Amino acid sequence: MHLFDGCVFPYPLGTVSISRYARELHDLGYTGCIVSGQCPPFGSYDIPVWTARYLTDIPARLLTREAGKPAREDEVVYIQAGDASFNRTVLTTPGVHVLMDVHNTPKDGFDRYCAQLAAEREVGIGLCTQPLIELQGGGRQKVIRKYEEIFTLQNRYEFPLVLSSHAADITHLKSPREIIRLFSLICDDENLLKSSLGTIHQIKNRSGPVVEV
Amino acid sequence: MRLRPSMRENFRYILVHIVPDTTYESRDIYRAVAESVVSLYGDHIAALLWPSVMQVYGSYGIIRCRRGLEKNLETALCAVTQIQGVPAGIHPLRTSGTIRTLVEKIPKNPDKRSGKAVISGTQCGVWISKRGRIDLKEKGIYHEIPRYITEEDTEDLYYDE
Repeated sequence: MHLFDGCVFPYPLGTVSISRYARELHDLGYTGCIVSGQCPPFGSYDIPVWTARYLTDIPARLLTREAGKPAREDEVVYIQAGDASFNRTVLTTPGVHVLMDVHNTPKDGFDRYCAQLAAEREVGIGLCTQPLIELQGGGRQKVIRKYEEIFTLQNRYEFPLVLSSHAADITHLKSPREIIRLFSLICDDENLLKSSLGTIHQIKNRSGPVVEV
Repeated sequence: MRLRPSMRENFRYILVHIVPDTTYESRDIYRAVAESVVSLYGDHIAALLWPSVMQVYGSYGIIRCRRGLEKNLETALCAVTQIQGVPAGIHPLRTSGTIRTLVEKIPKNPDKRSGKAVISGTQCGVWISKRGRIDLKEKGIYHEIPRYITEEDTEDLYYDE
C-alpha cells in the first residue's frame, strides 16, 4: 500500500533538505513523498521523492499554458484554489493533478459541480493538516467547517482526496497515524483517510485527462 | 477517598517522541499538552481526559490519560506546535496499559555527537545523530543553508574530540 505525504516544502522554502525529509518520512512510515519546488533529477533518497509544480495566484487565462508545460516523469501539478469559476476552469484543464488550499476559497468556492468535475476527471482535492494545527479559535473552526463540506461532497461524488502535512520545518511533519487522527476530528471513516494517503499515486498513474469534443 | 480495586479508574499510557531532539521538562510538556487539549476540545473533554506526564527520558515521554479517551489525547498531541515558546512537535508512538511496556520501547542509546560540517563552503557546528541526521547548532545565523540535513548534504564532516 502506498502512503505518500502530499506536499512538503524543502529548503529554501523551508529549513529542511530533501534527503532529510526523505529520511524522516521513511522513519515515520511513509513510502513516498512529494516536494514542492526543484529536486535534483537523479537524487537517491530513502523513499521515492516526486516533485510538485505548485502554481499559486495564477490567472485563469495562463492556466492551460502553465499546467501543460512538458513535465518530468515524476512531476505533478498542483494549483492553488480560488473562486468557483476559477476552480471549475482548473478542474477542466488537462494536466492538473491536484487542486490545493480549498479551505481558503470564498463561500461556495467549491460546490457540487466542482466535486462532480473532480470525480469525473480524477483530479485530487488537497487537504492539509497545517491549518488545523496552526490556527486556533474562529480560524480553526472555519477550516473545520470547510473540510466538513468537502468530506460531505466526497461522500456523495467520491472524488480523490490528497492528504498532506505542508511541512516547512521538521516539527511540522506528521506520521500517517497522526494525519488520520487529525482528520478524524471531521471524518469518521478511517479507511477513507488511510486510502487518501495513497491516492496521489493513482492520480499520477491515471490513464489521461478526459477530452471533451 | 480509598476505593476498591475494581472501582478504581483505568488509564492508558502513550509513548511520545518530541522533536527536535533536546531535553524537555515534564511540566513544560504538560503545559503544552493541556493547552492543546483545551484549545481543541474545550474544558469539558479536558476535565474528562485527566492528562498527566508520567515520565520523561530526554526527548521521549510517557503521558497518561483515562481509558477510552486515548484517541482524543493523541489528536491533541498532534496539534501541539510549541513547548515553552520553542517550536516543537509531539509524535505519539505507542499506546499501552502499563508504563513498563512503553519504557522497554524507548531507545536506550540515543547517541548524539558534536561536530563540524562543511556545507556549501560554510563550516558550521552541528549535532550528528543516528542514521546520518545532522542538525545545525545555531538557528538563524546560516541563511544560505538548510538547518536539518543528512550526511549526504555535507561536503566534509568532522567529529569533535
